[in-house]
Amino acid sequence: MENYETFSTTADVGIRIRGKGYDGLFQNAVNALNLLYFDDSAEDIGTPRDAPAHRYPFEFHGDGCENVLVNFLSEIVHLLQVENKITTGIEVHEASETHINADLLTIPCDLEPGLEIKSVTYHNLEVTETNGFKCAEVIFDI
Amino acid sequence: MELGYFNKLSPYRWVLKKRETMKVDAEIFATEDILKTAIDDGSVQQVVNVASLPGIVSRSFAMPDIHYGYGFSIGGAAAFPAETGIVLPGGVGYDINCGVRLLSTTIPAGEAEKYREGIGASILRDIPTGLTNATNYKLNPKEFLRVLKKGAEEIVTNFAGNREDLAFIESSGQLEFDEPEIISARAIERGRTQVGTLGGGNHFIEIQLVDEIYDRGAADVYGLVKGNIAIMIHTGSRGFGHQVATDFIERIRKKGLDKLSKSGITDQQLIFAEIQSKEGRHYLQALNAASNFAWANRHLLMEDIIAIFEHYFKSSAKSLGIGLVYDQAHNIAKFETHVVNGKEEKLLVHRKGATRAFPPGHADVPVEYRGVGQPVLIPGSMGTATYVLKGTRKAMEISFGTSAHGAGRRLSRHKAIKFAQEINVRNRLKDRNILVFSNSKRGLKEEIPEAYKDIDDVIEVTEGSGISEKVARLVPLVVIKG
Repeated sequence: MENYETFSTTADVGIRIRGKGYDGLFQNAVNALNLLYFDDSAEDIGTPRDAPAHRYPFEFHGDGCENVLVNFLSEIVHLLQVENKITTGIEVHEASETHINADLLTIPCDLEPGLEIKSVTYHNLEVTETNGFKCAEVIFDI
Repeated sequence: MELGYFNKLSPYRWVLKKRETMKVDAEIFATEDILKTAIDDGSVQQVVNVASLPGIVSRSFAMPDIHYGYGFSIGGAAAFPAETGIVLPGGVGYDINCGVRLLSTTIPAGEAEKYREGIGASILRDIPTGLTNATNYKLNPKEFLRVLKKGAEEIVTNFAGNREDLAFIESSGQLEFDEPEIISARAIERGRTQVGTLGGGNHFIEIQLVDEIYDRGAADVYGLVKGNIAIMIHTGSRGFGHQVATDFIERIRKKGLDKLSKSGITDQQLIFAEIQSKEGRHYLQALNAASNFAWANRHLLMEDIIAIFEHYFKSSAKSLGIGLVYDQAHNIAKFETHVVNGKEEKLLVHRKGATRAFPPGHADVPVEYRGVGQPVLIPGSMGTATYVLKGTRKAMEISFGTSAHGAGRRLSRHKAIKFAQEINVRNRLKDRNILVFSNSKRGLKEEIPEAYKDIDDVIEVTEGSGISEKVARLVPLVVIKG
């Protein structure tokens, strides 16, 4: 599989992600979410713009990687849908199964998102390890 | 799961006897084709998962618009004892009190024709749609708190509208909420800028024509006259409800994972709390706040639309005969009294993509409708008919007074977009005399009628199984999509 891709269920949409270690998984979660929001325009995200990236510190301690991943994605959804900021990348300071400490790099959003995400769900969410990659599928309520 | 596992009680009622982890039987209201589709898309397994939850009463139900959701199937309903049972946010969904509101008018469709284009364009221009925080109503914190406490009543008291309308809203548009301290700052932040907004996805405003009357007596009582136009609003609690659900799923999961695991369920989206626990009580309080937000939201949208009609027709709402027929939730959990094994029991009934369908004489039906039963509003997909039905005694006996809520998706959004790739949805509907207004081309393609089940099949099952009876059919003249 690709490092990240999007898919649909009958009513909702999702992302399929994998990465080397937890930091790779979280970085690809950002890429996949941007693909979900902006389709082909997602390729332009992260290219140099006038506005310098804003560092938004994010730290979360959870009961497992699924819990950390849902809260991490929820933060990115919040930044876009409430604060109008696209997360273009992350700098991970520390990531484990139950913890992430990272800077989310955001820029003001000048693209029109193609969908509104109501929430990040735990539906059948399981972070697994395959061939040295952390893998997950996350469903979003839209 | 196979069709052969089901007992066919009648042409439209299928029962799966309890097996493996199930605590009760599951019952699906469906044609054979609808049931086969639901088996294939995994939603029947979701009904089975719900049947495996502790304390579930009677059966795990699914309506004929069943389709695959997260955790609970969409079109699902389940009840738990009020004192000893559980509450699960996944049995309501993130869009708490998503619902529909229907307005009748005395405007003949012919008279509305010359304003149709203008009204549609004005609604799209004046009412915030899609992913927006640009509400026309910037509430201060005190006003917002009053919305959470009083719901639609706050709107008629301090913004616009008539107090008499409150009687025609499920639960009078207000559920008890008196613990504002449990609501997160983030939920308030998301909610304050979204009161009076439509949202995106499958939310819509439609101007409809009352096209067919099946039950003249009930239609007269509801104010629906063949040839006149009606107005329908479909939206929910916007970012406030989404955040409330997100917050409380997090709070409940801290203690809930072990309990879920003991039930033999692996899907964490079905996390639950005991109703009487602190987490359960707080979630129900927050659910009520979000429900109140949604009723206030639909009320404000209604008043905005009425103002547009008054502008075009240069006439008052009263002269135009605009009246609220009913406002109905289809994502909610509420305490209700039902008869179980011959005895009345207070239950917490969860409906996710399912509507209440209470019968004639029920105390929770508006006094004016008590002779015929509660209106049941079942919109179809974009460009297809909406049906108004009425609640039945049989629904109280066999489905906890629950009915369908819509056509139910058939195609995923990706498949719908692929299907509609070469189709100009707007022109296609215009050829059928339906004007479509939307800022989202992608949204129109996602909501193409072929993405949904045939509403007529859903209505056939709904009426054929006895859980509601047809009153009128409405067809769209103008569609405004979020």
